[in-house]
Amino acid sequence: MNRFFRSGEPFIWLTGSALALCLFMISGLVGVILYHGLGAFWPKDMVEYRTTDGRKVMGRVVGREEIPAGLSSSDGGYRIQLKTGNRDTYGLDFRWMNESDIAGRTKPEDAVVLERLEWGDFYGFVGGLYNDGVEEAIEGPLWEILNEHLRGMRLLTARIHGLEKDDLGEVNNAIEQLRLQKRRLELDVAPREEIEAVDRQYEKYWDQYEQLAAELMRLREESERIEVAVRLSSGEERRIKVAHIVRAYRPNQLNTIEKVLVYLSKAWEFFAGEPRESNTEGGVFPAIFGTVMMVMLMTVAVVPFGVLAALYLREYAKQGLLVQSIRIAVNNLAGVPSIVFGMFGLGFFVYGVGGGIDRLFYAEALPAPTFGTGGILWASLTLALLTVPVVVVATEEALASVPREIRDGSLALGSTKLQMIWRVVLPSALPGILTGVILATARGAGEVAPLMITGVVKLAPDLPVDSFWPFLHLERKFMHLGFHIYDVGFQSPNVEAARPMVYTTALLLLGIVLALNLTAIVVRNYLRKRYASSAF
Amino acid sequence: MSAPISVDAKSTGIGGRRRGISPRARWMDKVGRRLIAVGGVGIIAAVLGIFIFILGEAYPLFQDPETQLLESHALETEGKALAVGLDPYRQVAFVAHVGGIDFLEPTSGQLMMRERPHRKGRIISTSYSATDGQLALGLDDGRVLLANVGFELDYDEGKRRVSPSFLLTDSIVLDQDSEPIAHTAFRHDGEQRSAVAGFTETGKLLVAVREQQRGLLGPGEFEKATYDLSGVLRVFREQPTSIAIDGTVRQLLVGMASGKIYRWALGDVDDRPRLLRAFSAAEPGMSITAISFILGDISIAIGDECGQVSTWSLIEKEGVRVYLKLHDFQSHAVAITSLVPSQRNKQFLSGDANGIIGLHHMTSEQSFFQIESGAVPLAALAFAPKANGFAVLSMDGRLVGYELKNPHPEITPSVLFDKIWYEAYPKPAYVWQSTGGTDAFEPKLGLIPLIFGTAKGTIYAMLLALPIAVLAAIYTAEFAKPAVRNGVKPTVEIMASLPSVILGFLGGLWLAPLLEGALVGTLLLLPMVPTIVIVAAWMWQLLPQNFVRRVAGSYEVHLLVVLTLFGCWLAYYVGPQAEIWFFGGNIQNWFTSNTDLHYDQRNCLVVGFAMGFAVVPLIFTICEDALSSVPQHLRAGSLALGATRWQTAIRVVLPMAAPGIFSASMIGFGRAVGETMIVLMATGNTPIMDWNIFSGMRTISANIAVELPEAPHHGSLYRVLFVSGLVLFATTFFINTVAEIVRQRLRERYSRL
Repeated sequence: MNRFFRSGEPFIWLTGSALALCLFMISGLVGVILYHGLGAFWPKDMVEYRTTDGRKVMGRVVGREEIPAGLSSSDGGYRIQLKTGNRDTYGLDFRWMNESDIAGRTKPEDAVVLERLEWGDFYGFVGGLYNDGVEEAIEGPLWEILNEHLRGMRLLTARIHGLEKDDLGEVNNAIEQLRLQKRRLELDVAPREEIEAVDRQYEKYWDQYEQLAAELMRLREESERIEVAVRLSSGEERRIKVAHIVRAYRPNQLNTIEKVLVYLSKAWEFFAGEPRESNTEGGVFPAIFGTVMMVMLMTVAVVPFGVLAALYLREYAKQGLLVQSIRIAVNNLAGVPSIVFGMFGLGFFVYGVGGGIDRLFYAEALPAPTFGTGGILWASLTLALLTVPVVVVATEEALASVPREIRDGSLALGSTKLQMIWRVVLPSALPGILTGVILATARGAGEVAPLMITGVVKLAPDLPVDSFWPFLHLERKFMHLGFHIYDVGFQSPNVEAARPMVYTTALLLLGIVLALNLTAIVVRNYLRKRYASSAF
Repeated sequence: MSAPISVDAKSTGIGGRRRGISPRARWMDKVGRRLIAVGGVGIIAAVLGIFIFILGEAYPLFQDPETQLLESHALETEGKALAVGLDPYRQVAFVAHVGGIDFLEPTSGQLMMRERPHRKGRIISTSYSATDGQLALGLDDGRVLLANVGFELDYDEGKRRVSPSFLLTDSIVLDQDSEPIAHTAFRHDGEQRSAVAGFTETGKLLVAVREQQRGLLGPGEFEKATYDLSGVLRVFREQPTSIAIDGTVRQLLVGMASGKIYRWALGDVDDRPRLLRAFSAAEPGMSITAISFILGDISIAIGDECGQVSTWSLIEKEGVRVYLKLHDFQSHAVAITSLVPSQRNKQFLSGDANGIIGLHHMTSEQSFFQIESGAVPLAALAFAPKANGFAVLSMDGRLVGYELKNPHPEITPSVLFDKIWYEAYPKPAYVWQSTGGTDAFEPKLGLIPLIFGTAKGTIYAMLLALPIAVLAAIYTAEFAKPAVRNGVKPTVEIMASLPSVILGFLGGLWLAPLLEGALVGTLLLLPMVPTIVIVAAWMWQLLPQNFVRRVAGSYEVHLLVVLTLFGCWLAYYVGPQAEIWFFGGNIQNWFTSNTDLHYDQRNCLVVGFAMGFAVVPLIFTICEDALSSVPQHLRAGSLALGATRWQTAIRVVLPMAAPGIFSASMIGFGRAVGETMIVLMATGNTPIMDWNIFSGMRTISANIAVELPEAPHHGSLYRVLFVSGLVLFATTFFINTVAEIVRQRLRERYSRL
C-alpha cells in the first residue's frame, strides 16, 4: 500500500479526475442550456388529472421530484409540477400535485392551447363562437371555423399594426419635429410669422393624427367583436376575444410532423417577433437586432483604432522600455473589469461628450437629453474600448509573425515603408488580425455589465434603425440578448413562467458567442497551416 | 515576440537616391507615418486616460470647501438685531429685531418691507426653523407670537422673482406674570402639533403645547395648554441658558449653566411634559450656550461657554435611549452663541461671541474652517436652504453674506475606509447603505463592506477553481496523451468565452435551487470523488501489468470520466440519506438551530461554482502553457535517472513552472475580483460582512452596476462609486501587471535553458 502511494499513481489519477470534472462541468452546462433551450417550444401533450377528492386539473407536466422533507404532508412520495396556464383565473401558471392525490389521468383529444397576447396561455376546451355578444350558429366543425376567424383576424391585426407603426408613427414623428422646430425658432427669437407658419403646419398634422386615431379606434372595435367561448377543465366558462389569440392548437391531436410545425412556428416567432407580457413571451427580435447592431458598431470602431495602435507599437515606435511597458499596460487593460469601462463610458461618453453635443446641437430638446443619456453609440464605443486590447495584442502578434525576409524583400524592391506595410505586411497578417477581431467581437457580444450603465433597456420602443430621417438613430436606447437574460430571469414578476424564454435566449446568445469563437479558432488554424507551408 | 523591426526606407539606403520612388509615394509614406504615430499614440493615450478620467471624477470628493464674502451691509434696525433667515435662492433675507421684522435684498441691503406684528411690547428673543418657516417672537411682556415666513416664487419673462410673505398665526401668553421671555424655542411637526418653550431671566421655564383639532370642515380650533417646568430647576438650582425642541415635537432640551442638559418628553396637549434623565454635556460649571437639532432630529449639536462644539445622538443603551457624545469638533476661543443646522445634510455652523464662524460636518467629524465675519457681537446665523451660502448678523445690525461651495462635505477618506459612528448606531461600524426612505436619511457610504464582499466572493471562487484548474492542467500537460490534449485545450478555451451573464443566470436560477436541495450531496463531493478515484487506481494496479499496458492503458481518460461521474452520482445518491442521519433531514434547519450560520439560497457557494466556470479556463490555459513549455530535456533527464512520472512532474516540472502557475492564479484572481454579472445574479447583493459561505455578499462591481444608473451625475454617490471603481481598477491592474512581469521572467528563464 505504501509503495502504491509512493509511486504517485493515485495522484496522477486525481489530477485526471480534476480534468474530467472540468470537462463534465462544461458539457453539463452546455447540456442544461441545450435541453431547456431547445425543449422550450415543444408542444407537450395536455394531461387532465382527476384528484382523489374529485376535482379536475389540466395542464402540462414540467417536472417531477421527491416531496421535500420539510412539507407537512410528506410521506416520501413524489410530486409533479404542472403548468396549468390560465393565469387570469388561477392566479398562477404552475402548481404542484402530490402523486398520492391523483386518482386518474386522461389526455383529452379536444383540449386546446390558446396562446394569448395577455395573461399567458389558456388551457381548456372550445365551446362556441360569439359575434357582438350573440352566439353564432355553427355550420361545420367548430375548430375549422375558429381557425378561419383567426386567419381573418391576423390580417386585421396586421393592418392595425401597420396603421399604428407606419402611418401614425409618421404623423407622430412629424409633430415631434415641428415641436422641436418651433422651440428652436423660439430660442433663436425668430420672427413671429415663421413661428405661426410652423403652427399652421402643426394644425394640419394634428387633424391628420385625429383622423388616423379614429380609424384605428374603429378597426380595434371591429377586431374585438368576435369572441370564442371556452371552458376550463375545472368547469368555469369564459370568453376570449379572438383578436387576442396569437396561436391555437390541440396538442393531443397533433402528430409528430404537426408538432414540429408548431415548434418551428414558435421558434420563428421567437426569432422574428416582438416581446410580449413584459418580455416573458413572444420574440426577441429587437434584442437580436440590438446585439448585432451594437457589435457591428463596436467592430467598426475597434478595428481601425486597434490596428493603428498595434502598427505603431510594432512597426514605428522605438522598441525600448517605454514601449515594453505600454505593451504590458495595454495587455493588462484586457484584465480590467468590464464594469470599470462601463463607468468610464457613462462618465466620459454619456455625460461628457453626449452632454456637450446636446448643449451644442440639441438645445431645443433640453432638458430631455438626446445624446446626453445612454444610447447604442455610447455602448458600442465603451465596448470598443474594452475590446481594443484584444485587437492590439492579436494584431501585434500577427505583425510580429510576418517573416523579416518578406519585409526586406519588399524594401529592397524599392517600396516605401508605408507601401511595404500596406501591400506586404498587412495582407499576410490579415488572418491573425481577423482572429483578434473575431475574438473581440465574441467578447463584446457576451458582455453585459458595462451596457447596463451605458444604454441598454429592458424594452426599447423603437429600433435604432427606422424609416425616418436620418434612418440611423445612434442616440436611441436598445435591447440586448444578454441583458434580456438578466432582466427576464431576475427582474420579471413571473420568473417561473419566464424560464423557457430565458433558456432559449441564453441558448441563442451562447450559440452566437460559440460560433464566433469557433470561427476564430478555425481561422487561426488555417493561418498556422499557411505559415507552416510558407516557411522557407 | 520576435525581434523589433528596425528596418526602414532610409536606413536601407536604397530608396532615397534612386528614382524608383515617386514623390507621391514618398509623401504618402510621410503622411502615413504621421497618421499612424498620431493615431497609435492617441489610442494608447486614450486607453490609459481611462485611469486619469476616473481619478478626475473621484477627486472633487476630497476638495476643501470654498467660501466667498458676498456682501456686508449695516442695516437700520430698531434696537438689537435678533435673527436672520434666507430664501432658497438667497434673493430675499429677513432680519428680526426689537422693533419688528425686515425683509430685504441681501445683495443691496435694500429694505423691501417691514412687519410689526406686536402692537405693544418689544421683541427680545426669537426662534426660527428654516425647514418650515416657523418663526416665534418672544416679547418682553411674557407673550410669544407665532408667525409663518414664506417665500413665493414666480417667473416673470424667464426672470425669477421671490416675494416674501409674513403671516401672524397665533399669540400665546407663556408667562402669566408677564416676565420677558429671554429665550424661546418653537417647532411644528408639520401636521397638528406644535410646542413653544421659553425661559425668563429669572429662571422660569415654560412650555406651551398646541394641537389643532380636526374639524369637519378642514382644520379647526387650537387646543393649548401651558406648563410651568421651573419646579425642577428650583430644586436642583439650575439656571437655563439654552433651549431647543425637536422637529417631531416630542422632546424639549434645556441647557443649563451647570453644563447639564435636561430633557422633557412632550406628549399630547393634556399630558404634562415628563422629565427624562438629564445628562452632562460640558465640564461642570461650564454653561451650555447653544443647542440645535441636526437635520433628521436624531442628533444634537451642543456648544458651551468655553467654545467646545460636539454632537450627540440618541442611542439605545440597556433598553433606554440616552444621548451619547459621538463627535467632537474644532473648538472656538470664546462661548458659542449660535448653532445652525443645514437643511440639506448633516452640516452645521457654529458662531461665537467674537463673530468667528465655523463650519462642521457631523458624521464625518470634520471642521472645515473658521472665518472671522466681523459681525461683533454676533446675534444670529442663517444657513441658506440649499446649503450654498450663509448669512451672519451682528447685534448692531450688520448683515454679512457668504457663498459656500462644499458639494461633498460628508466624504473623507476615513468615511470611505474606516469605521464611522453614524447617528443612532450603537457603535462605530462599516456600513454601505446608499438610499433610504426619507429625505433626512443620511447615505452611509463606507466601502469596506463592498471590499469585504469582493474579497469573500473571490476567495471562495478561487478555493473551488484553483485546485481543479491546476490539477487539470498538470494532467493535461504531463500525463495526457497528445490526442486528449489537442481536444481538451480548445474546449477549455471555448469555456473561457462563455458570457458571464449565462453563467450568472444558471447559477442563480438553476444551480441555487438545486444546491439548496442537495447541499449535503454537494458537500460529500469533496471526500467522495477523490476516494473513489484512489480506490479505483489501487484496483487498477492489481490488474496484470501486461493487460494494463497493452489494452486498458489507452482508455485511461474514459475511465477517469466514468469514475468521476460515478463519484458525483454516488455523492448525490447518498446525500439525502446522510442528511437524515447527520442533520435530522434538513441541513438548513440544522445550521440555524445548531450553529449561528445562516443559509441564503443565493450564496457564496453558488457564486463559487458559477465563478469557477469563468476562472477555471483562464487559470488552466496559462498553467498548461507554463507546464508544457518546460524544456523537454529536463523531463527526459529525470525519467532517465529512474524517477517515476509523478516524481518528475512534482519535483522537476512543477518547481520550474511555479511562477507560471502563480501568474495564472493571479490572473484568475483578477478576473474574479471584477466579475459583475455572476455576482449580481447569483448572490442576494446584501452588503453584509461575515465569512459564512452560505450567505451572500455585495461586491464592488455588482454595486456599481446596480447603483450607478440611479446615481445623480456628479453627486456624492456618483463620485464615491468612481472611487470604488478606482479601487477595482487599481487592484486588477496591479495584480495583472505582477502576473505579466512574472510570466515574462519565466519566459526568459525557459529560453536560457
